[in-house]
Amino acid sequence: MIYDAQRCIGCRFCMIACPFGIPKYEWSKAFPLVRKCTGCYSRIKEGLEPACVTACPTAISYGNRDAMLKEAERRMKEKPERYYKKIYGKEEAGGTCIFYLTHQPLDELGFKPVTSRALPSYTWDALRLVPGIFLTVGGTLSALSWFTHRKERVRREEEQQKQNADQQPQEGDQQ
Amino acid sequence: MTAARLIIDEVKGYHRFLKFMIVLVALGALASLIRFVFGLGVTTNLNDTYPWGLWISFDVVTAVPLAAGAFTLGAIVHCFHIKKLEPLVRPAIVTGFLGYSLVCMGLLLDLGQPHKGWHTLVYWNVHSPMFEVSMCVMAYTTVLFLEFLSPVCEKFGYRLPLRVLRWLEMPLVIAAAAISTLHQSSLGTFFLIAVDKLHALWYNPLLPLLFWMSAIFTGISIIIIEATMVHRYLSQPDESELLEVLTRILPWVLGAYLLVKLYATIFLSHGPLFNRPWLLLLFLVELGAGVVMPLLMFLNKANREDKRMQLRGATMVVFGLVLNRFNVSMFGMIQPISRSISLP
Repeated sequence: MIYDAQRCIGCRFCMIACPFGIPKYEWSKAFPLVRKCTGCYSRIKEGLEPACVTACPTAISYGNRDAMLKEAERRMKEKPERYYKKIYGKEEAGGTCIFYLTHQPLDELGFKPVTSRALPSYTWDALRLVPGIFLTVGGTLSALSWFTHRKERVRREEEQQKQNADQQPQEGDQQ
Repeated sequence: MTAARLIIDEVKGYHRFLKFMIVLVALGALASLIRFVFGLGVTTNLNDTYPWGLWISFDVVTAVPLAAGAFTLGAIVHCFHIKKLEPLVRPAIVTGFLGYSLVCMGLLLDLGQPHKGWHTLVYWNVHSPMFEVSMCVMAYTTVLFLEFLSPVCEKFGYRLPLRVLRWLEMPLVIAAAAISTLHQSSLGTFFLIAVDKLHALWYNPLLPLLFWMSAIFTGISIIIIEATMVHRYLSQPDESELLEVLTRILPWVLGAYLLVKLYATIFLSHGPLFNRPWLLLLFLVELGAGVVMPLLMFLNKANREDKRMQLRGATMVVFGLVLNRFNVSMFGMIQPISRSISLP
């Protein structure tokens, strides 16, 4: 995932949303931005691998998601005694772009259990109703006020008609 | 020098309460200066685990429902056409406008890049609750400003804008209710994304609906408190007969809220409800003192008509609301593993 510092307004909602605590904030700056790993997007664009992959002697591999998942499953199958029986990230938050294989149990290492549903789908359940609610509330209140004001309008018109009716014979009398 | 002397003499004549307010504003100005020099970390004690603290909990999540009187009363008076409550509308709009100004000021201080706040107008992301909230804040502040202009134009006798505003009155009232409905509920939508962070006592898919309903009864209660206080301390006319109408509406909203809240908590929440005794206590206080007790109070006709009971019940509702918003945005978000909580 990449991050556009030009657009960021610094609201920190991404930090509320992220269950893994990945986005970090520049707390000591007057106009702080969010900072996070962008998977070395600038290097990828030039056909290079992320810097951590290049630097790491043994542990980090890089590739597209399906290939990495296959690789993780292969390692677990070949040396089952070496790995804890879970690929962290396969289903977490709807499936993440980084997988972790561990030897120790995940909770001992501080990996939190996380929902397997994609997080935006939780808020979208409410947000997709927004246009409908806006139109319903606006429409209902408009219709309601039209009716409640109608009585007054009718009364006023009747009064005016009565007045007119009263005035006309008077005018006739004068002539 | 003479100008300064004039100001000092003027201030000396003020009431003690006003002087206290001036000191508060000065402190606030100083604090915001410090925020723009040394950053948010020093002034708010926030950190990467707790990125939202008091400014969001109070200035946004709590101040917005406290400003809900304007749209609630506007709809009651103009759409449901209960004309006799009209004298209460203008004070409600002033409170609403003040509340939203506070929200905007708070947000400008709390955003990391306040000068880019308008970006939400240009770079749309309809999948983000933050997009909805910021659109609603801007739209509704504008509506409140226009509604607030009427008395100002009357005071100075500007005829033409007044005629335009009169013509706009009904559309503005309806827009206010529609935008507020979205805005109040979207504050609840915020926390729908904190699936594994917010405790099950408050996390449920109906959170936006609950936020909207509680905003309505809070708006009504704020009007009761305000009208009573203004009568008591600023020698304005006694409105307790009109307030009685409001106390008749309150139990309906409180009762509906209680039903939805219990239904959502019992049937729609996931995860253990009773594992954190402190949170359970906060939940019970919030619901007992803020909803159940005022509901029972206002079911009784004698209480509804008694000035002192009106004030007491309304204050309890507002207390419950404030506690509820803090429970959702702060206490319920505390993670059991790390023991730190952010306080500015």
